Amino acid sequence: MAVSGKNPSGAREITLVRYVLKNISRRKLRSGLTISGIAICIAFFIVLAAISTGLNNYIQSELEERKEGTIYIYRPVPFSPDEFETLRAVTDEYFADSDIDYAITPTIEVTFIRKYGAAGFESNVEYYNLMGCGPEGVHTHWEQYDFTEKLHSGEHLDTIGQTQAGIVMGYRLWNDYYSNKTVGDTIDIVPKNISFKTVPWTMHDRYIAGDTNYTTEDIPPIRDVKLVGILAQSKGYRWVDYIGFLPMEFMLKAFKLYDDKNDTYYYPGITILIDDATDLDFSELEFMYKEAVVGAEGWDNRFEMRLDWLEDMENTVSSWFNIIITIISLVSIIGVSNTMLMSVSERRTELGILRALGFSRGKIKQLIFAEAIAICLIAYCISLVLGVWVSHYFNTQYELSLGLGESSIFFSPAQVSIEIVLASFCIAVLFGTIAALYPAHRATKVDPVEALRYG
Amino acid sequence: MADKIPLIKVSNVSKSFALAKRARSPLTVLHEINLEVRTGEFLAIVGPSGAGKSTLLYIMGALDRPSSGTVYFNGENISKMKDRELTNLRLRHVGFVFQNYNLIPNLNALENIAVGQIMDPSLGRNGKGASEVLEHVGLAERSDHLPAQLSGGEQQRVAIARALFASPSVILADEPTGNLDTKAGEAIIKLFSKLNKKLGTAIVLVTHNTNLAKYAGRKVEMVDGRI
Repeated sequence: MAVSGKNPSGAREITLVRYVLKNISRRKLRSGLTISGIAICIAFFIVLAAISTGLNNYIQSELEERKEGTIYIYRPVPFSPDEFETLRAVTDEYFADSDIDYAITPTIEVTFIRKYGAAGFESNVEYYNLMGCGPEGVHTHWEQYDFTEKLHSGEHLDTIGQTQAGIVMGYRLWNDYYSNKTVGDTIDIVPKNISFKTVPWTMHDRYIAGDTNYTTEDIPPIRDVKLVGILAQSKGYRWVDYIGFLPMEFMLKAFKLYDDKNDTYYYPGITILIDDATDLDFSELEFMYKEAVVGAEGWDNRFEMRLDWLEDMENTVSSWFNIIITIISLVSIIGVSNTMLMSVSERRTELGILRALGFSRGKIKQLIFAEAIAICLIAYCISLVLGVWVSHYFNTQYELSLGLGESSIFFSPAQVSIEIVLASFCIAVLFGTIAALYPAHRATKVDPVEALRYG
Repeated sequence: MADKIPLIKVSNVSKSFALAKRARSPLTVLHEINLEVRTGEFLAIVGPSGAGKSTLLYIMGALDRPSSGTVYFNGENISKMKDRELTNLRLRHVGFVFQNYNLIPNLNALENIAVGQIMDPSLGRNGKGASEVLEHVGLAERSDHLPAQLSGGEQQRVAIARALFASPSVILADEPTGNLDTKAGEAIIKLFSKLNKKLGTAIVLVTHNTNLAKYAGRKVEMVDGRI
């Protein structure tokens, strides 16, 4: 292929590339529409590939950065101390041969709700988490791990002692009722005419989703309790003004987690913290728990659930990616092929002239291939700009939506890698090549004598 | 010695076409034609429409193959040549000029002339450049014009320049004045005559106009596929 240049007389030489570009520009509307269609197809490929790459990279970084694992086990019937000891023994056995540090603790985290109809609030539903501990002390472990630190770090105004329960006071509840309270003050946590109901932890998501098809239980008003600690401005609970900490015992009684006759504590949940969960087989551990303690359901491994969700999403994107690639490949190839076939049909005389002038069949074939590939490469250039811009927009929107906790079509980061740029280039060339196969064959079959006589 | 070998020798050439699959006998358009074209000669083949002039011209120019007989080009039998060899022969040694000019519409005059460089970038390098050839046909100032911007006579001049570009041994012109008025037609034939004398390129002119044949050095008449 000659390089375009100038001959000694100063005129531009005609080269294959120049000839092909002139042919494309000759039929502006048809070429433009074909190029636009393919550009959109390839841009779509770039965006999907960018999302797939972004999602993959995100999962990898999640795995790298969030090695810590947290497993929660809840069930409607609280665990007895004996059951807790059984689970501890199973956990010891599971981790016996590994270097992984872990901690298993009983967890008291009960959700209870109230209707809160104050004007001007986004929601008239308030819920509270009662977080606390058993006889061993506080087990929320908010300060122990980096990821929890990021989520829950806040301004600890004060705490007294280790035996306490937290009341989440969100939606300006604190401001409305407790803003003048400090540690040591006595408060009611059932302000005015508001009643509380228990909501089992495992039903919490259903409650938030508006599903009330489960049993709730009224709990007695909690009055005259001493505020023993305050956690302010929690990042983990965005809607929370403050978390108040109260003495445990009467709370446990209220939730039937303390049997004062036998002096026995019960635990609605178990928490297992693991310092490096990268290579753990959670399902095996889950199976061991279920074998050891009947009813150890409510498995809530958020770390793994999040990764599962991401992997599901990645699989979904990959599936769509494959389907769309197939469709856009067919559309592009058929589109270019059709354009080239029309071009060959319309240019029978021209092809006959070229044959008469000494163009070989191979060169005619080369012209058709070059034209089809040029169409796809022009489309590629446009699609690259379009695809990169859309991917960038998608990524920006994703980053903006982070932390809002809202569903969005911008569900993943999107990253256009050099591999995607190269792959889309190869795809464009491949589209052009495949699309030109039949038209090129037809072009070489043009009989120059017939073409010159009859067109 | 070389001058004694005809540039093109057509020996007992016949050409038949199968009209349809069920047709009993094919249509024979050339009947055992014998003809020689000498180097530097200006030959006119005259005859009415349907006489087989164009078919003969295409066979002489290695664009078509005879059904029987032999065609020699510079003493070489081209009847049995492979397609690739015939293509090369047309590229370097034969120039075609057609009745409909057959210029490529999206290329300007200069690009039309040099279009063979797409096939072989070295084409025309040893001889006249495209601009010089355009000067020969008197269109130097129209080099950037597209065919649609040229008159019929001018388009035909560009076609002649294109035929001359590779410095061929022969130009085969198929009714080159067929679409031109008398004056423009005569101008084209005079141009052929001038180029023939100036450059020494052999010219075979196919025409049904006997008046134009007078410019040729030799004239043969064809009727019903026979000379």
